[in-house]
Amino acid sequence: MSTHLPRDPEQEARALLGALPRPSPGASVRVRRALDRSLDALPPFEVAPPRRWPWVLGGLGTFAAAAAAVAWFVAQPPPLAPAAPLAVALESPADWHSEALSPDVSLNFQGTGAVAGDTRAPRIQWERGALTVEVTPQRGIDLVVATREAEVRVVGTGFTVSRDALGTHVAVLHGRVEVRCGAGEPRFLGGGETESCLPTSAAGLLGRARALQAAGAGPAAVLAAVEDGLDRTTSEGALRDELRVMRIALLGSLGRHGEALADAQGYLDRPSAPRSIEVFRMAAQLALADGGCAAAAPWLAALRAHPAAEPADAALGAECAGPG
Amino acid sequence: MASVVDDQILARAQRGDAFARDQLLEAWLPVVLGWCTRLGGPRVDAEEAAHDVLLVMVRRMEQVYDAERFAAWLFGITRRTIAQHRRRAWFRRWVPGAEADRPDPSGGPARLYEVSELGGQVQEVLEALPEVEREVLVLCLLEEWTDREVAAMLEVPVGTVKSRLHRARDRFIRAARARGLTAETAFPRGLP
Repeated sequence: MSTHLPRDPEQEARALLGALPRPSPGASVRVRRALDRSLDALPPFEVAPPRRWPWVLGGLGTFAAAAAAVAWFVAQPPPLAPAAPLAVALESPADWHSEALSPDVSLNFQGTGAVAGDTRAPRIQWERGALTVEVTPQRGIDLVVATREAEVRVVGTGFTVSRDALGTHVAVLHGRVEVRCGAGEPRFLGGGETESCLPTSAAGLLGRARALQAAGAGPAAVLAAVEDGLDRTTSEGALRDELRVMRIALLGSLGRHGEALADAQGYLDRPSAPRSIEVFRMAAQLALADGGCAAAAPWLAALRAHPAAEPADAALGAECAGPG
Repeated sequence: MASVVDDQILARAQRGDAFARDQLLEAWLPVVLGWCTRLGGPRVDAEEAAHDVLLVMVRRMEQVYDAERFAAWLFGITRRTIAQHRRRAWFRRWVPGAEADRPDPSGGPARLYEVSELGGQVQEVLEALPEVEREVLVLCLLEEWTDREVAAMLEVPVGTVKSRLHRARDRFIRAARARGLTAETAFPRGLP
């Protein structure tokens, strides 16, 4: 990413304008909610008596307008109860469980999470499993479900949020929700639409990669998650080591032997690199497959000399041992 | 960012299709909110102004006869609405007892603009420019509409947009530097 400071006026102006205030978080949702209320509150029709019989139709029109106003008032939902604070633990990892937070908000879940906030603005932190939410529309309920990857804001609807190692998945049953994945732009979903938010941390992406492997996903998809995870961690440590070793194995699976061997060399250049015996094995196998005995010789020698070498390692590349 | 309106979606929305109307709102709400935030200034409640603009959009969209004109038509509504809100804010400043037309701080930190100190200063510099120069700076340099699109929005020739932009940019930079604001002070560690 370039950090070159602008020299020309246009770049300078752009840089300064970039500091202008932006709409606050949630502004889009608030505007949309207010707009929906305004549109719902518009009178159902307007009365304009024609000129020919002004006194008759004027009277009818007045009566119709009055009737419409009465009908509108009668149709209004009962006023909201005062907001009551909420502090509820959601713990049902094995079975589906129902919980009514208020007359306007009900939950159905199989998993773990917690509810805070109040009955007008519930805040649900969802950790794992599936959660279905039903919210009475146009009651001024500002409900948010947050996971580590996503924030789902209700605009009056029913939806399901499920979170597992692969990420957070949102499915709208009816109505509308706003979904924001990480720090990205919010997206509105309608009935029948879905959105998935992938993990954003290196640890989350390692979990996703393992879950994809367990689910039988192809090596390319798993590699994408691993490389995304590597991009999100630059400091050395167990997490980065795990991702690097996975990357070497996946590159080998994809036939990208040259890259895998280069990665292995880079990984093993560090003294006391963890899981080095596994990396030596992978590299020796790749080198044998790629370049034959001549290319594999140094790897095989290092593998056999490794303190953690097993009897099977001595047998690897046995065909390369020439007479004498 | 929305810049082109699908003529089929517009036609369906004009015929009362609620889903098509929602698609238009989803695309243009953030754009209108951005216009109201940047062009409205500190005394205009951008959310309230954006709501008013979009209400007119929904109720009057049959006025748009050509989908290519939609952005210009919507910007025209936005300009007029911002002007109304500015007049209202000016009026409230001077009438004893009238409410200050500012975002309600009791809504909590999330209801206020994300205004850094630098952002507030840049906004003051922008506010001091004539309205026509303010608009062309935001639309051309910040939101990166093309000269032709901005000309349609402002209802002026393309050449006028270019000359206004040139003048506005120089005036803006001079005014910013007079307050000690430069790209270096804005981003001492380089551009983000």
